[in-house]
Amino acid sequence: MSAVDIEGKRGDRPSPVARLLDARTWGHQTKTFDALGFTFAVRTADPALGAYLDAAYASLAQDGDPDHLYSIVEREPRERRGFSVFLDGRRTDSLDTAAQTLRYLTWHINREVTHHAELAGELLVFHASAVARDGRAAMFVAPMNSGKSTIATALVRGGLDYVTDEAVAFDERGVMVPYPRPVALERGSWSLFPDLGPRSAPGIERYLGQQWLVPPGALRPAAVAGPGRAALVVKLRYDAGATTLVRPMRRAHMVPHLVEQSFTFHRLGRSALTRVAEILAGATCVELTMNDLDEACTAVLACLDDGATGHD
Amino acid sequence: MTEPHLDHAHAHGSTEPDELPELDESFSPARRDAIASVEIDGEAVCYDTASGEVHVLNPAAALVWDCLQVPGTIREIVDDLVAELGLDRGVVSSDVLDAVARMVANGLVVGANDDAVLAEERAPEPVPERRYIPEVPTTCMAKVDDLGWAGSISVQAGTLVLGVRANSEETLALLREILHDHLVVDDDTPPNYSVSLAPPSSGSGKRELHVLYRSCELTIRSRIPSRVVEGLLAHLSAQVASQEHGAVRLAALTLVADGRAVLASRHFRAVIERLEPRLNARGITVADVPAVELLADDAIVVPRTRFSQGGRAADMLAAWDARAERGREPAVVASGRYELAGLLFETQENVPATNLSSMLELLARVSNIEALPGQSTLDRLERAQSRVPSRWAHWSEPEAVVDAAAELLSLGGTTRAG
Repeated sequence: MSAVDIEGKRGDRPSPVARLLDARTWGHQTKTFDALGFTFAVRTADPALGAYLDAAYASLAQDGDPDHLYSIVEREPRERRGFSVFLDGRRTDSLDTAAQTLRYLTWHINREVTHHAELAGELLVFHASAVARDGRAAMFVAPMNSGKSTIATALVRGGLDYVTDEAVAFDERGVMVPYPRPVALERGSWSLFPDLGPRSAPGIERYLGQQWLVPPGALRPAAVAGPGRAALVVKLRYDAGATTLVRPMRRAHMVPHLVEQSFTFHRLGRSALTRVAEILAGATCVELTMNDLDEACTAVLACLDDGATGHD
Repeated sequence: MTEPHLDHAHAHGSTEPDELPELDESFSPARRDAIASVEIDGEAVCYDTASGEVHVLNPAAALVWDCLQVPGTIREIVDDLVAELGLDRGVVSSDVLDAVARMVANGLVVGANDDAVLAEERAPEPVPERRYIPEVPTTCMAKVDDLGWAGSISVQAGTLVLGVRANSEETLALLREILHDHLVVDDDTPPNYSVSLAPPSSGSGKRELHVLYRSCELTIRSRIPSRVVEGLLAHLSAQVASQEHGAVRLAALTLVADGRAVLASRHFRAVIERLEPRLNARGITVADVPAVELLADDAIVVPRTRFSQGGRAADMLAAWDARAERGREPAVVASGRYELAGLLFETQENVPATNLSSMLELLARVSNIEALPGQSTLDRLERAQSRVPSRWAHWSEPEAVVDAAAELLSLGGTTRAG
């Protein structure tokens, strides 16, 4: 059962597993977070992990009770060591180490967010990162490990606003809805942003594996963007052996790439195609082969400037 | 009129059609109902809501596509365009015929008189009847049953409902997520497939084996969890494809390099599994699919995995692999069309290595023979056999198997068999 099914929500009659979880002693329950309509909190016996998550997801915090509750259970030493992750009354997975557990949790949250958007049937969501300036957004569409988070981080630190590093959502009017989750910086990017490491979070070292979760506020104060429109759509490709290069793309040729990197397109069917055309109508499309990060950022800013002045 | 041209920018890896249907001006094209389209900057973007594929038509082809909104023959379309654009009729006719042929080849358009296709699309979707593949309680099956299974799921594959059992709650959770859209509630499903994914390594350096059983047959054994799951998805996809008409489906091992493929006897499975790193090192990859399709032009096709859910499933599998302390292996064969480069058979005692014996083995490996006209199957196998070289090797000489495969794929192998 997906967590967005009505009968799966907290507040319904709890399952036996949920009752057992409720009876445990918890060290910390996070604030309620709202991620594109999926509201959740996380409880854990480890206050250090709870505080880390509160800081990482601070940009999504809201008042009120969550619809869904994650429970992180560290198994007793007499059992096989490791962690179990529950969503409401359902165990979603068991993991051996703290680092695997945090990485799995952040992945699962993101998956539930996109599932929720898919089933709600309103948001058109793409696997992309995005930044914005004055309500005009640049989105970077690409599969995993293509540098989406890295280029978004660099541009936000350079003064642009942060929309998301993973899932760009558009409502029915074609407005980009921010999803400012923590930036997930992989180890390969750490040397580019050494000051973003979680040095001020004691006790969480064992949860840090190959990924830092960087709160948007750590990139730049008040960095989170408001709703906006796509002004620049970038098909992003990282190639360590190539020269950084921007090539214009015809808008129609961006559509297959967007469809391939969409979480919800097929669910929305015919209407999604019209919506994509409307989103692209106001945007410049380019293909960016990235090697040097500074050069890539300069190129993106130039494209945004060109679009703002009417040069397509 | 500029040259009409279909730019094939597919979302799901479709390929440029090798053969275009031969049409004449009496042909009456009709857009398929399943196709949604939108115009962007003069180009037409067509989305096939049934297959998920996206096609981009350049402005000239988009103009032809626009003409197809009104029923008529190609002759009428050409006449209209000549009258409107004032161009040479011969040029316009040639361009329109080519554009429509490409649209037909890519499934955007059918003949207006092709009542079967249009009626099928316009009919309300029938509620599929459920069928099962029963599992016979053999000694072999009992051994697999005794391995202990944490639970099972039922998966709808066309009209079939197939049972997949898993060795642990974790494995079950992974399969539920990946097959989310295909799950059905059905207590009668037999255990057609069994997946055992070992927990992540204990850190001792020993990497665990992950396995897939089809009935009681050990079908895939790998140290990469995603490989087993992708193998399961390929098997489920094949069950759907086997219910459809079309190409000759061959249950053979498929070795691929540089867009070419060798079909090898399944007797080599254990050898090839053991030698896979060596094959990979020579640029040869092994397709983890239960069957491939032999087309009329003797090319073969590795069927697309229909049960994959794109990025999300790929991400999940990558996460699982990461936990297994080993990255995904690059040696995965992409779905698509491959040129047949050769046939590799097993040398058997008391059976001469002749065209007749190899033909008998090929015939025995046709998995959809009941759905095909017998003579056309024979003709197609015979033509394939006569067109490409065959080699024979014995499973006890693994080097000879690798060399023969490399030679057939023109990778510089040393002929030690044949």
